[in-house]
Amino acid sequence: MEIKRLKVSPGKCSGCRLCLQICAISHHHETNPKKARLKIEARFPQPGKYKPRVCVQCGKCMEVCPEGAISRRDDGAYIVLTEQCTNCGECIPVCKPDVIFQHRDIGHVLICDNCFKCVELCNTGALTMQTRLVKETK
Amino acid sequence: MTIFLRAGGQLRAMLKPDIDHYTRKVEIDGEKTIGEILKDISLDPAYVALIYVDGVMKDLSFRPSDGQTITLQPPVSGG
Amino acid sequence: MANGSTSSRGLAGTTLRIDLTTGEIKRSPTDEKLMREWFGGRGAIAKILYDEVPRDADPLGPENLFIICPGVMSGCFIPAGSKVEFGSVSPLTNGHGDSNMGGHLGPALKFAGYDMVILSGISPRPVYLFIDDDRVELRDASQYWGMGSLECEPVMKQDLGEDFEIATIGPAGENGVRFSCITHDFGRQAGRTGQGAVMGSKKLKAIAIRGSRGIVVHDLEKLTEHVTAIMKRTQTHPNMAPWQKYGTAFFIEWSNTNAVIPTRNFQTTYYENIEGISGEALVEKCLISHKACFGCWMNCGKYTKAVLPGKQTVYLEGPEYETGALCGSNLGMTDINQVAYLNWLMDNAGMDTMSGGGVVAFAMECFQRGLITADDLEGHTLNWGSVEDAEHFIDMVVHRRGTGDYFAGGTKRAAEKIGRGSEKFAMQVKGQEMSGYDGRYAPGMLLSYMTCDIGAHHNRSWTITVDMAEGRDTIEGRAKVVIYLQHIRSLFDIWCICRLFWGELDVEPEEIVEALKYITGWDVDTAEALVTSEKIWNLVRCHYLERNRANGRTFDYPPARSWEEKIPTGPSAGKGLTKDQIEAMLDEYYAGRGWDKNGNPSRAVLHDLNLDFAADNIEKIGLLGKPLSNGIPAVRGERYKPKAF
Repeated sequence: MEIKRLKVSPGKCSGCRLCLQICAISHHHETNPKKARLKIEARFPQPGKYKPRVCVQCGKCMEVCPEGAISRRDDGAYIVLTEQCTNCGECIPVCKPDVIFQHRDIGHVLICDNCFKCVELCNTGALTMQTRLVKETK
Repeated sequence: MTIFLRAGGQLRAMLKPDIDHYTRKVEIDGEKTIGEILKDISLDPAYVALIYVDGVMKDLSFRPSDGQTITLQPPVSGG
Repeated sequence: MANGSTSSRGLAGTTLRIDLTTGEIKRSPTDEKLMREWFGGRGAIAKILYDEVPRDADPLGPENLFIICPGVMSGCFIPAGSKVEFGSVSPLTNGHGDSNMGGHLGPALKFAGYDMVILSGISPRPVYLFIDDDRVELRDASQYWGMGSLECEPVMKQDLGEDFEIATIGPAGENGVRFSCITHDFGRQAGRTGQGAVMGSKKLKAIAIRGSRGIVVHDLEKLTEHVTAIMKRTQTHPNMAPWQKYGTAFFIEWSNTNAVIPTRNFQTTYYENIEGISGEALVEKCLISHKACFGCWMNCGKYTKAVLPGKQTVYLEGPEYETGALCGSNLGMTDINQVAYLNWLMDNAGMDTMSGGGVVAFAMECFQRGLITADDLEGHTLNWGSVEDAEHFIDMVVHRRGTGDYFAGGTKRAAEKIGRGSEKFAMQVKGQEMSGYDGRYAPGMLLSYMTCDIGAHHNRSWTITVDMAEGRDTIEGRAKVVIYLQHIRSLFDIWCICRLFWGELDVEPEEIVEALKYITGWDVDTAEALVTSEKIWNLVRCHYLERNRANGRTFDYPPARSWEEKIPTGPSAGKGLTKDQIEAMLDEYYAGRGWDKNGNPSRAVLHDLNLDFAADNIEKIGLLGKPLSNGIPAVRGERYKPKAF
């Protein structure tokens, strides 16, 4: 099957957070970077670089979810079943890039669903879409 | 040979783009510098703040090769 | 819904009033009428300062206000909606002062739920303002007091959390240096008009904000579609790639070629060592990474490091064009690392690199002419091109030691102390130092400095290419263009969004107004926006007259170098302006604005702008402009299109 995921090119990010804005707008109809499903780590004053942190579609969250509230879509994305998620947060510590979020207004965890809206607006080439073929799915 | 000049902002109007909103196709005889090419098309180089070719800054003495795209940047409208 | 307390969308809903003397913090619903009429940002600030600060209040005293306002568009999905406007009566100019910066602070304030913070009084001890959504506190800042701006920010982030947005002042602001700035995000500054000195006078060391709410806009779907289209369209704009690579610094060389670059305190307009301090040199020698403000896809910020023998390696953002010119050619520096090092020194001390560059250059010229000597400089010299000399002098100014104290008031106050003709080359108007362009052979630019509402500054009007297109030897018609630019460019400071994508990426003002409508739901058009900008301009003028109590014209002159000395070297050698030309430009400008020959606004124009209250106030002190024989122009200012259009 063909799966897609976000690819980060280190050193290209300018820290503009347009990705965070469009992510929150697309999913929550609100300009609010705190509701985004990726984050930008700012490493200042030294070394003086930004590092986007994004979902790598590893599936660890699905493995540990006690409610079975995360499922995998055909394109490889892991999707939170919002009705079933209890917002317990057990998936958060196993997420290696640390990109599972909670917000007090929202009753479930926030995980990237591969919509790639962020890629459309990223003007530095820091975020791109990577497609690859894999033999089988989990 | 053929080169492509691109410009936006104030320079765009001076360049008179023809193949798209920002780009003008220019035919030149033999090798010429950007300065000479601008003179041929009556574009005053005083309004060009930066000449940018393949991601690198060039000056008026640069000689483009066939098919190359040259971006002409106007000055910042007040840093 | 995050904030449903206002019907105007784009607003966060709450205004904070904080009395630093008593520590009292009051919340009130944001005044929507004020926001609608004055558009927030610089506009709301101008009205509040005009209404509330007593005319005899000391800018560094308790009666002055310090206002933080991110406007209606900042934090929204809009190109470069990153700005936050700071305002107070300026300790540098003694008139309305405002200054803005990009980064992330303004959006953070909106996300925390606040449209404006108005601070008054003086805190009995150093404090910082802590805002974490609903929690608003004045916290002890004694552990941060005395720290450099750039050193303080990472320490505060460590103490509070990485996701706090921090703005700080440095020792210059703490010590009352009148051109002190506010620093944020490791190198974004609100530099002009001494806002950092006002913070310092109030014992307010820093502002730390974290916000987790959203901003509700009128029509998010249309806004998203509209803004996405602008951003995608401009991704392939010819200016985009070079802009992203070089930022504003690329046109240092252009300014030199076209003979407008200030060199050795504006003695000449052509610099022989330009290559060493060019944008190309910056990218080759110093660049670490590209840095953008919130919501900006142009990333003009250049994060750099400066390596100089015998100095610590320093990390900074910049130098941008203005710093490159004013701390580069204007100080006779030959290497971009020197310029970057001075940029870091001033950033960390918390002084504006533009006024700072102007002040050091002025002192260097005083030293060149023997008006100050090593005796005045604790035994040091102050030679062109010497980083050592500049560093020692800056330290004297920051700590106001000895002669350094003269210069801590800016070039105008320093010249008053030094005398002996030094005022002729104190390159300022109304107390604020000029930006990085010499106006002697760019008359529109000189007029822009002369008439700028906050003292000499390029931000309100920049006309070098207009001067070139219309003829640098002519002055006719220039005033109308300056007036138009003063209105349209100020709009960006009113809306608190960046101005650069307008000029650089061909985004039309109408497209921005359309976004404003989607954000706020207001019935507004570009014409109304321009009139509002003009209204603010006139109110600020009245405020200046009421505080300084003399005919406006008397404040609008540049230093005598501008007409007494011709440009000595370079492509513009022998060129210059006469005093008569300067007077003629002022006449044309005042007529174009509906002001009288004394530079005082007439009742007719103030009435037309709904400013009758201001007309009454200036009439009481005898500064209302006389009626104009031909009446006032129906439209003030004239939209400029280059001849090639």
